[in-house]
Amino acid sequence: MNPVLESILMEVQKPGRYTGGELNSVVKDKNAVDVRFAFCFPDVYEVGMSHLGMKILYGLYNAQDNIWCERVFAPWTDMEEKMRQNGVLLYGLESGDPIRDFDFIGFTLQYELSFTNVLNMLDLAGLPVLAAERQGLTPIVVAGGPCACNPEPLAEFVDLFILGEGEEVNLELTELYRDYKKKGGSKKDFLKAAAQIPGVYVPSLYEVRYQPDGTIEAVTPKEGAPEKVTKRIVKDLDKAYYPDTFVVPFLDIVHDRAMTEVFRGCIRGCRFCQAGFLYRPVREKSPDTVCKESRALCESTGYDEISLTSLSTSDYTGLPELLDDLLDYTEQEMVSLSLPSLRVDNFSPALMEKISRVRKTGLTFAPEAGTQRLRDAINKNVSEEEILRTCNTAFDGGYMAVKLYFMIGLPTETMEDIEGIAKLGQQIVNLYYRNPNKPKGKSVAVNISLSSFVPKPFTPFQWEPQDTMEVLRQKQQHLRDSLTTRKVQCKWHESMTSFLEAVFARGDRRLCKVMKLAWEKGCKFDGWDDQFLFDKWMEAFRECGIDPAFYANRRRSLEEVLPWDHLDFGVDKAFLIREWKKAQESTVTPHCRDHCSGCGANRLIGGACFAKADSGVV
Amino acid sequence: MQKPIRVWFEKTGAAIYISHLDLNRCMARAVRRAKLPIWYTEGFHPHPYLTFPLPLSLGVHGLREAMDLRLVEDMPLEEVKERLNRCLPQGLLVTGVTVPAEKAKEIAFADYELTMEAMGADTAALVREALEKDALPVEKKTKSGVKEVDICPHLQRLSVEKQGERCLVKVTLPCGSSLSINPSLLAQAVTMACGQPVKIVRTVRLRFCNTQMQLFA
Repeated sequence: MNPVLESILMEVQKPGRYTGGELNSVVKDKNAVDVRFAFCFPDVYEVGMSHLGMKILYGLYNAQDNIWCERVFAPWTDMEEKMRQNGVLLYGLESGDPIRDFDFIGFTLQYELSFTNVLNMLDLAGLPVLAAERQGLTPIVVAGGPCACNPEPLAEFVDLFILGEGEEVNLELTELYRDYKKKGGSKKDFLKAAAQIPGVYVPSLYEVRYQPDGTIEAVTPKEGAPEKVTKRIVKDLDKAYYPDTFVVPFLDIVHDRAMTEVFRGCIRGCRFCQAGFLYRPVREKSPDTVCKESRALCESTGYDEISLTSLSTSDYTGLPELLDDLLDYTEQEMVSLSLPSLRVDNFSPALMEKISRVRKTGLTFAPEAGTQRLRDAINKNVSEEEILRTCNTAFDGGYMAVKLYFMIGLPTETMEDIEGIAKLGQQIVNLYYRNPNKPKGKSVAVNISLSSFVPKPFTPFQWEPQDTMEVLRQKQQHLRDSLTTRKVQCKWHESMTSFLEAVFARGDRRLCKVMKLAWEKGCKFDGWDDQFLFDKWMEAFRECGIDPAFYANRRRSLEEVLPWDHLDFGVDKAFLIREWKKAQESTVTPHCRDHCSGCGANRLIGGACFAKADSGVV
Repeated sequence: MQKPIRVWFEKTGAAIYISHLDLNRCMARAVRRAKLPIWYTEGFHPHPYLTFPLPLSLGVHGLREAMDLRLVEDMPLEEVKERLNRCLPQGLLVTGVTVPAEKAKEIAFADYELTMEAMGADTAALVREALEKDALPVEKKTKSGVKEVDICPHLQRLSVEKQGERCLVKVTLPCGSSLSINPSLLAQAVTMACGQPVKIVRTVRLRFCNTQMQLFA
């Protein structure tokens, strides 16, 4: 280990974040590879190491003989200070080499409030944060992940964005790079060529013009870049790469367990949920594949817990079969199994019986809204009866705590909807006390977690204004006033972070200068309450002459050119408009297996949508 | 059957930054991967039962650390060692597996090698000067608050060796349940005695000993 690094490690919290050397981390001979990739997660180790996408792409890259992919996380503020004092540049955990000398620096963009960390990490690497000031071919700064669906607020910092799933396009990009490296090509020529790869978006090849009212007039491609960039997907998950091993951290990270993905996409179409639209169409893995991958992961890592991951896991068609096979294995090997994402309407007693064979923890459900009218408006196809029935099933099974997720500030919401949250909580408490099978002499806890709605691109609510911070606070207070029992506990987040999230989620390129200025003023780790500097952000907006409310709180017209309109995530704008109109009328749309609503995502797999494969309907 | 065994291991390199709690988890996973037939706790969430007779502080190199397990099937001790070594990350190395001869509570002393450094000074001279003193008071944090302790009478088998500007101090310190002196207190004592900051840049715990100051087995 580098002696300077060694001398500072004992002076920071949790030095295990910065040492590497974990089991299954990949060390290669740097002279035997021709591409070095720094996979950066712009948050601390414990958060980044919990992220499944990084594990998949890390495994995929390192499975190629001539590529060495290393992990990089945002050093916590104490470590950053020591690194800057001692001239230690941001390094890859596997080799300890500065990532400045790598071929690629790739960021995964999981949430908007990590954007300033991207700038900070580039700076810590000893690189200019502005893409235009990095003139050599390498390192090429790339970014992907869900927030790349509207990458405009990072357009001036990142050389290219990868839209959609990376398993195929990342290797195509590496292949292209290899040619340019060999012939000594320029960065400009490489980017021009890269823009021809489907799924690759090079922001510098697009010119944005604005109208006098501040909205976008047009986005025009230059130098042969495509009019629209369409996201990439993997068609067949049974054939797609999936790692048979994970790097096993020493530290206790957020999700410290084996994770097996069971499907991608979601059949539900909740109108607020960006993931539900971005990851379409639904593609399932066979139970056999899931079982095989789960076993392989447990054996190679020594983990004693597996989590099945997807959106809305109980919608997996192979779930009963999978649980039967997998539980036989997990029980014998003393491994526990968890299903973190379940829906209220198909949580059967049989399913609960199976899960409770392993371990009993709290139950968490997400009704999202307090009244049926609003649940219909957001297309959360869950009835009050189903919520209550599920809670009753849980109480029958011996559960004494239920956690419920709700959102406030949803489009069309009224104070009546807010009161509905408190009423629903009270009904669940009453239900517990009426249940004859409840544990004797034990009290019930209904924990309500309240988040503030943030309108996101590629959802039917992409045109909607976010409630102002003031209105959100009033609604929080109104809910608190409506609660009449201490058996219902309510927690929420500060509305300031949701406001900033809303600005960047639907922002355009003009926000780049705000972001750079805010970062220069010290903003980083914005997702961490103890690091978030709201006043500095507002200062930066003022000094740049940009009104954040223009992005967060303004109702956009359906005709407006949106900053992400030149990107295509498979879902047609016409479909989003239909869904938006239905929301205004509180009309629901059935889920994809019940009825195809023609979102358009089946184009990506070139034919019938897999969600409807059984019935043969397109 | 339940057969207690004691695993002796080294903790060096990047592994010195694994905290005691994290080491416990790391070893449990290695035991699972190695498929050792060991006893699992019998609670609702069974996990491999393993204990450490003397935990090691984060940042300290350990050359003869111990971990106790219970085998539920017979297995040659050499095989236990080989299986574990195939499953451990870099920096953790099993050097031997034995049947425990003594109970953990017999541990009373530990031998250390400390590399000390006083910026821009002859560290060996400073340390020797400090050790001339009749008393070496330090502030020791205990459960009941900060307490002043004289470590002078507790420094045994002590030697100081000059290594350029740095120096290597070899010392045996008490580490039992009734009295324990953390090696970092030595740097504090020297700093206080000669009014110049001295720090320990490397701490190695060589081995631990029983009440008779013989190698713990």
